[in-house]
Amino acid sequence: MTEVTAELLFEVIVGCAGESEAGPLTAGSLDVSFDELGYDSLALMEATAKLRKITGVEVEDELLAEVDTPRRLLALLNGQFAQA
Amino acid sequence: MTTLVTGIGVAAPGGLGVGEFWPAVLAGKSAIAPVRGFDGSGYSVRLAGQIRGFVPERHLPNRLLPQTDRVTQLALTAAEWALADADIGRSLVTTDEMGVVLSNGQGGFEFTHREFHKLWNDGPEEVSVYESFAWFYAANTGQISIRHGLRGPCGVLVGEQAGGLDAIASARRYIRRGTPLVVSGGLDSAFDPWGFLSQTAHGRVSRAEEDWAAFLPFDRGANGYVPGEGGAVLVLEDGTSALDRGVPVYGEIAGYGASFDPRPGSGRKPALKRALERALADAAVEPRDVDVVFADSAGRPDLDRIEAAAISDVFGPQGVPVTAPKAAYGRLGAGGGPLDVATALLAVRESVIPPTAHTLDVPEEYGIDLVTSAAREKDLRTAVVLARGYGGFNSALVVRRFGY
Repeated sequence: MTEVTAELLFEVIVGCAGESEAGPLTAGSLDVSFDELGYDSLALMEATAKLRKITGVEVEDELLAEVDTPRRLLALLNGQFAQA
Repeated sequence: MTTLVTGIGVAAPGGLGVGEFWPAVLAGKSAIAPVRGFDGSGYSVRLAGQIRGFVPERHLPNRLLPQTDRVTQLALTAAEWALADADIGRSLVTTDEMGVVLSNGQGGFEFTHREFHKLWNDGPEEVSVYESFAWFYAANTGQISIRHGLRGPCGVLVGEQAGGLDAIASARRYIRRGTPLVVSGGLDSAFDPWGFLSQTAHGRVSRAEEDWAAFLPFDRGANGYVPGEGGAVLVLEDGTSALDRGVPVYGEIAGYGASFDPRPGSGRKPALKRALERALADAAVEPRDVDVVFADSAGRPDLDRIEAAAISDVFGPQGVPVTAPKAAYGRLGAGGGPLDVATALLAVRESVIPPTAHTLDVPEEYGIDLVTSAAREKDLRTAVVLARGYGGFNSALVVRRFGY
């Protein structure tokens, strides 16, 4: 089982929703809010749909709405992945 | 209360930006060419007025590209140019006092075509979540509002070719109700294989193979029109606001009228003339005060005859110069009216009437003085723009040199 890494998450987000308004995504972006990075709820839906294709990880839309930073999204993705 | 135009942004087949577009239109330079971007060989229609050399990455933040159709990318670009032209940096109004009202009649065709292709071939999970709004007529309005933080009244009007004038009139009404600044105009674009078919299936489009023979408004040889893409965005501003800011003014939106045609076969008269008369009355302008008419110019004899009759009835036979700059680049749907308004404002500013490209042989019985072959210099103060939308929409707008 592969974990969703920050690198994969960032690559998928940029691929789906374009580059961040706050510059390139790095480890330093993990605790920056998606708002500040310029990604809205649709960008996250698009990215998690793509991740599901790649890794099989499913995220419920309701939980997704409560996630506000890349670090929390990773925790959600990998937490569910571990349960599966 | 006066509604002034303080900014213009143009994205048209003849040119990206006013600086490219205006000289091309004055020269009657043809922007009509075989349809590009996909294999058009199987279509009965060959020619289109497409925008060349638009690279969205050069004009827009990368973030906006995955979520926007080509028409929205053109609209965002034209809006940015219009706002820069109006020098909004010197704005005395807050973003709550700035609105956006645009027209769009075709939605995000190319984007939707791509996503439908994924839906049928790869399954629903492959469809972009941005399809949820990228297809929508209001996407242009919404994206401009979000990008520039314009939080005042927003709207979209759909009325095919007439819709662009209706949007400008709607913006004018918001200004009269107290919103100091409204971004307005309209654009359309649908040049993917599905969009092109949808634009040509109704049979009003020319099947000619040569650009000079395809779109001949008011010519004896008129055989349909050429579909095009793009349009114009204007910054409309309350007179007090514009003068307080001290920005240059292109002109005034002085009057508007609209009407709807009777049911086909009813025997009642077409309603275009009524829209024209209402616009003149709204502007408190007599027919003799109008210096030029920018015609809707359908490019089909039956429809041209209706328009020629409306013009010669109101202004008298050969009573006013008439022109159709769109003969050089096609009918742009929602973009056609606003682009004609932009052209009329530039014409009034420089006192020159751009020509109707290609048209040469206007039947005597039309009774109109069509400006053909070359631009005509004339002192211009007041111009009328006419637009008809498929399905019966008629709109007329009066623009006037400011201070006259």
